[in-house]
Amino acid sequence: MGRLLDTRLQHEFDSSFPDRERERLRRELNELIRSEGLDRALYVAPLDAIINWARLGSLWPMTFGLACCAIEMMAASAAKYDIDRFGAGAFRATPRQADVMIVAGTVTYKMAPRVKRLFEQMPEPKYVIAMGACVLGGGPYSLHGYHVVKGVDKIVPVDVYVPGCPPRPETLLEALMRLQEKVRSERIVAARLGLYPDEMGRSPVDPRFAQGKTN
Amino acid sequence: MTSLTAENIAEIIRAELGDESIEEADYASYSPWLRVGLPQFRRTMELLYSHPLLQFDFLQLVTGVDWVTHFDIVYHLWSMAHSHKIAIKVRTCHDNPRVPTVTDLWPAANWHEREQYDLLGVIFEHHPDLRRILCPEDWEGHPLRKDYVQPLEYHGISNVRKIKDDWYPKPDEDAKAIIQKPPVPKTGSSQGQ
Repeated sequence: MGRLLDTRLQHEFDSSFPDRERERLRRELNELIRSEGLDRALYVAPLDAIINWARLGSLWPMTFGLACCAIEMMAASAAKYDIDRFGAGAFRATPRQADVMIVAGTVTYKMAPRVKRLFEQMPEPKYVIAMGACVLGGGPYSLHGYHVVKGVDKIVPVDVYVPGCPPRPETLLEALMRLQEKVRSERIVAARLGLYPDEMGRSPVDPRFAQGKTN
Repeated sequence: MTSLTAENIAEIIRAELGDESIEEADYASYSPWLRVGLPQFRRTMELLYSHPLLQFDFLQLVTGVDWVTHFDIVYHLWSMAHSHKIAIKVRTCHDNPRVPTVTDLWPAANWHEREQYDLLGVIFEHHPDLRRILCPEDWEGHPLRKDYVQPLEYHGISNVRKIKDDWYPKPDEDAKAIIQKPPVPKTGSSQGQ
């Protein structure tokens, strides 16, 4: 079974089923594959694992810079840090083609309705990385500033918070990897089929998407 | 090109507009300034713009100060022709602050005056397009006024912070706590090692 499964998908397979069921599946699949003579022609994995594997390697961010954090975001996408290694280098100029919104910079009350609208225009499944102190809770403007939203999570749901003022590019890369972990743990197909929550009590996909619900 | 000092500039204004036109002056500071009365303000600015010895053709910035009892509007002027500078202050009341515009003399004043209107609520009479420039158009109040009270929400976005109130440092209380803290006696160096 391990021989047939792509090593990158092995992890997905292992984490998708309870131990007992996994062993039974391995045995049955091995027999089937051997009997059909498909040893070198098949990859076997749960549909969710394949979809997640494809999705997490190609998270397209939306071009979105509000203040100085955007400079670090640009540095992260430039040659030295090269966010494209993680498949997230295709910054899209439209929310319609983006998977993840990196909110980098100070969100003012004037900008807040635009941020919310851009998020709503993104197709699901969609993610938000909140980058920098201003986005997390108002930052230096939190106490006396009259114009800064005290945390972008007041207007859009945030998946990963990146503290820092501004965060270094490595930190953004770390956030992206955390987001990939989240994508990896999602079971969109299983949730649509009503297979979750499962007997192990694992959380289903992000509840926003579990029932095809939109915000 | 003759670069004039602030005293020379004040002398010219007094000669043209009368001794009472300048209420207060500071010639010594890095940015020398003259305070002119509101009735003479408009004529003073026209003179500064058009007088051949002054020729202040560049309005660097317009700013404002809320002194609680009144507002000061400050105009920083520079002359490209003569390389001299002056700041003009004008005082207006707090209840109904009104200053005539200088947009017709310096087009740069257009946005600067809109900014002062937006943040301080000073009305510039005869301004061609006096509306907010930084805050959203439906913003309530003028945020840089000393008596500004921030509303609790804007379009449903709460203005209340999530973190607990004792989370962030309070500079005054922290300073007090440091002062009241008894000094820690040094023990490490006196004892033998």
